[in-house]
Amino acid sequence: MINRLIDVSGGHISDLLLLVREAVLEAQIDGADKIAEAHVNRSIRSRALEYTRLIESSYLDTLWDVDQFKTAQSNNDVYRAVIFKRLALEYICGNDNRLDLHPLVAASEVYRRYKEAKVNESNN
Amino acid sequence: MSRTTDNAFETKSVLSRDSVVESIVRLNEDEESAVVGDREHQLRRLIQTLRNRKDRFALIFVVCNEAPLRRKLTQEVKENLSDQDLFELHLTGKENSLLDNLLRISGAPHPLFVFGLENLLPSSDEDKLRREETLQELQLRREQFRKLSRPLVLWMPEYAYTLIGQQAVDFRPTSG
Repeated sequence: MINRLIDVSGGHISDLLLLVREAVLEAQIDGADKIAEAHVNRSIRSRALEYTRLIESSYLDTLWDVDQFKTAQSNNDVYRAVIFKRLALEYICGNDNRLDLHPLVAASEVYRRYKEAKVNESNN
Repeated sequence: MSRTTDNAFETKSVLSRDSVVESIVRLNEDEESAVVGDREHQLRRLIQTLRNRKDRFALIFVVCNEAPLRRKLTQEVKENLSDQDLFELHLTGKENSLLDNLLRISGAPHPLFVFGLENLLPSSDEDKLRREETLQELQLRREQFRKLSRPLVLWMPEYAYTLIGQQAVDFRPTSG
């Protein structure tokens, strides 16, 4: 279960800790001694709702660019906001810098709908 | 003599990022976990959080659009936390500083329930300055809220919650 939370956190330690604490809270609410899969699921669902609230419509173009190219976009205000709010995560792998959407953002309905529209647009 | 086994070096297969995203999408469609959005479940979370953070600082957001429902839920929290005295503050929008007002309320370390935050975050263009001042205070003085030394429960409508999440991004609720 912990591996699942690590995957969902995108590797961001603050998010991982929040996910773990949420899972503990869910277990407490159920009066459970141990964290079960259902508690982990609820924890992820709660964090997903939080991330959805952070996505402004003006960010969607930049999120789409990050998702497509996996590289830093022009250093404008929107890009900075996207990084600042952890909607996209920067990874440093040796000399290689990589960028990707936070998994909870990539999975959000608002982003997936936008992505679907963009894909349809480019196919037509 | 110690002996290592193959298991000691077994590496767990790493899920591809697409698989991780797909698993979250499936979870978002799962009915069992949808309970997190239920009012009853949220109330239990709030009560458990107040138990966990008894006599300590905690920042808790409660999103509730209807005033009668806020009163009803507050009453239910009181009934479930008989060992804690809940203090209440109703903001009018005339306060110069949110934090300074909160610090003046007695009763710490018992929880403080604050209603009317939306009055300090008016949505109209004429009151833009008031809104920006509040957001700036939340963002820049966020660490000073710890001086309250008590659980702080901020009740707010959905739009205020979204606004804080987007424009006072570091003013985040503490978990659990």
